[in-house]
Amino acid sequence: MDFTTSKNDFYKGLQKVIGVIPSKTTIPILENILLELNENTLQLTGTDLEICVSTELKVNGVQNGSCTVPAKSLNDILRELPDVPLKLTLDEEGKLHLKTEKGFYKLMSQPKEEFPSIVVEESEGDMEIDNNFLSRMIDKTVFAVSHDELRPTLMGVYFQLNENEFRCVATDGHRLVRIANTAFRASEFQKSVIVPTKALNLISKNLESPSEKEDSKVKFSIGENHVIFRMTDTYVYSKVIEGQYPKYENVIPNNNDKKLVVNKDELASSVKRVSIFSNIITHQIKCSVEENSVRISSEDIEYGGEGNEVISAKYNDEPLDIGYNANYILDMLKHMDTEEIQFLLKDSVSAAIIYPIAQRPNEDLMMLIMPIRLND
Amino acid sequence: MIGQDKVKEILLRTLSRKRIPHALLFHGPKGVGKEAMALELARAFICQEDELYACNQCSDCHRIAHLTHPDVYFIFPFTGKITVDEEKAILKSVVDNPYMRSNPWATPSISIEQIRQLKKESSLSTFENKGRVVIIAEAHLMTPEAANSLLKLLEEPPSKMYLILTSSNHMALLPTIISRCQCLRFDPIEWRDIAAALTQRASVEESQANIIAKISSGSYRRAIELLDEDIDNKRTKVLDLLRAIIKNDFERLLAMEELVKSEEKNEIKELLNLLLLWFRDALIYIEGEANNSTIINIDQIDILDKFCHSFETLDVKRITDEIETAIQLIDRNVYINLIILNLFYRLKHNLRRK
Repeated sequence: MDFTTSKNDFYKGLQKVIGVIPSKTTIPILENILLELNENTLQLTGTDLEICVSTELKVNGVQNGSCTVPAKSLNDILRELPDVPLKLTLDEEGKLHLKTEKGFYKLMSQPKEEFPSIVVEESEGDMEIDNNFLSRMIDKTVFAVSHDELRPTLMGVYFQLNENEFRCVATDGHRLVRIANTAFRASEFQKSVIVPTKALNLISKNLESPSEKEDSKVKFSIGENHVIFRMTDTYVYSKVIEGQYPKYENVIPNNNDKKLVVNKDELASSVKRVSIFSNIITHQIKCSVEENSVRISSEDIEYGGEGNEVISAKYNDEPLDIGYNANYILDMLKHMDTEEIQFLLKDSVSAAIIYPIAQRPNEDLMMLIMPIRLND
Repeated sequence: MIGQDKVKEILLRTLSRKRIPHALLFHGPKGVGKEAMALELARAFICQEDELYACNQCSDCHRIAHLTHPDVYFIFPFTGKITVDEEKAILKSVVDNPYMRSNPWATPSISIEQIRQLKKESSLSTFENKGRVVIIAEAHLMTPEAANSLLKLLEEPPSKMYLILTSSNHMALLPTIISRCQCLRFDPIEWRDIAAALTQRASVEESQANIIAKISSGSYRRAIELLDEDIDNKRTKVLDLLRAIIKNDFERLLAMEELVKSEEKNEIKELLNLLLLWFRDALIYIEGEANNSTIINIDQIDILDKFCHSFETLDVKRITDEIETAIQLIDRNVYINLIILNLFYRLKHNLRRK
């Protein structure tokens, strides 16, 4: 392997991959980064065995080849270098020489064969989705994912590809978020997959990087045991969660007929204040819905604190008292973009459905929250 | 693999019929190659080059042998918290020699945390989609919680996952674990196989290898350990002891008693085992079957000859019974000095000169 490049290009490429490389692991090769040179394209790959990130950059290739070197050493030396031309060559003893005008550094390398291999094919089923839209869908769902290891299927976001829409669903059993892109066309096939949150966080971070163009697209494909997201020069390969995602449609009620419309910010700030006096374990608040107003109250029996606020709302149905976990409410409000939101209610022990007052074009966003039974 | 032809045959048959059980339990004495076989089997499962065997050349085979394959998990018992470096060191010892595993802990166990971690891993898909193998070494050291937590996974693992449990004391496993696995018994290895392995792998001289192989009682791990011990010195000690008993040399017998105080229980047991082997040789010699392959202490054949001719009748059966009883008593934690003195007395009684 023999190529020349500039420090800044190389370092920028390295930064995309380095985040995934584990610092302490029982498999030493994982602390390495894989460098593969094919003509004028250098591919950098790192993995923690759950996710694999790979990025390409243009260099001046002299001789093809591959090797793996400790990512930390490489990153540390590049960080300390000014933006100078670099020449990298692999010698016969398996050492990677990094030459600058001023001197040279040698890094111990290990052969590629030791490194976990993944086979990524340019499969025909590649689907394209707008960068912004994917990042939006991840952002709207990932917060609601469960952290309960006893139900592993809930620990990821459910990607559902239907004929004419692309849905993401996340739930932890107490709340559920469903967002669909109705402009999406996936011809001829239906697929679904549960993607672990770790990969999603990484992708949305990569998508947000300012160098990406505004209207760029992400290609993604679902394989038998993996999912791949391709950005312009980088791809993220992730394991998927195996198992059947629960039939979430069954828990979404369709006979919630009592409509409540409130101002989102007003509700959020009230809940925030009142929840200070809620029980520190349950975070329980009580919403008393009456004609054109909502009273939000909490009571901490242990310490005797109390909170009470009334906000105006649009509601003309029978009065209801419903208990909620304040944190769940706040989480959901944070991910609503419209000024006003509407709740669809049934009674004090049934799930509430929350919609933004108006959906964005080609989008369908819905959130669901389970109440806490009030014991009085 | 050293020896274990019977097990190999069974496994090859299941592989060739493509009817691989998803949970296997390898049980048998320590050091006979249960973990080594599990690793070999993992390679045979995952290696794509050959239907039955591991090719030992492809990247998969290479990485499994180095325990760096993303879809092969090796779970072993330890105590308390383990650091990454400690874990690395243990895995390295397995990689260097699958018949050995360094174990710095007095009472290690497999905790429920380890099983939870495994379950978390198994809820995700495989990394390379060629199947994955979980090896749980010394599975009987799972805590009851860990064992119970494993049951579900053991019964219905995700597709393409194979679990291999190994145990040197499978009677200590929960019956619910055993009933979910296909069991395979590993016998002690033939001494010839061990001797061959010692000459090839550890480059031990053949005569030395033969003696160690015979003394190791079918355990390659024991044989390797014996390499580091001064086995000749011990054999001389045994002969000294015999001489003292025969000559009624009480001073030297008392010196032996001193030895009992200074040596560990296992050392004493080993000396008695060597003594047993000596009488085994004597029996073969008396029966006139002595040759290079039957006699263990072949280098001491002259002494053996003299020994056998000094007695009118030698009731080897009775003597070995006495020694075996003594070994059993040591295992049961009877006061060692008492056992030894008693044994000496009985041996003396049975060893009357012409």
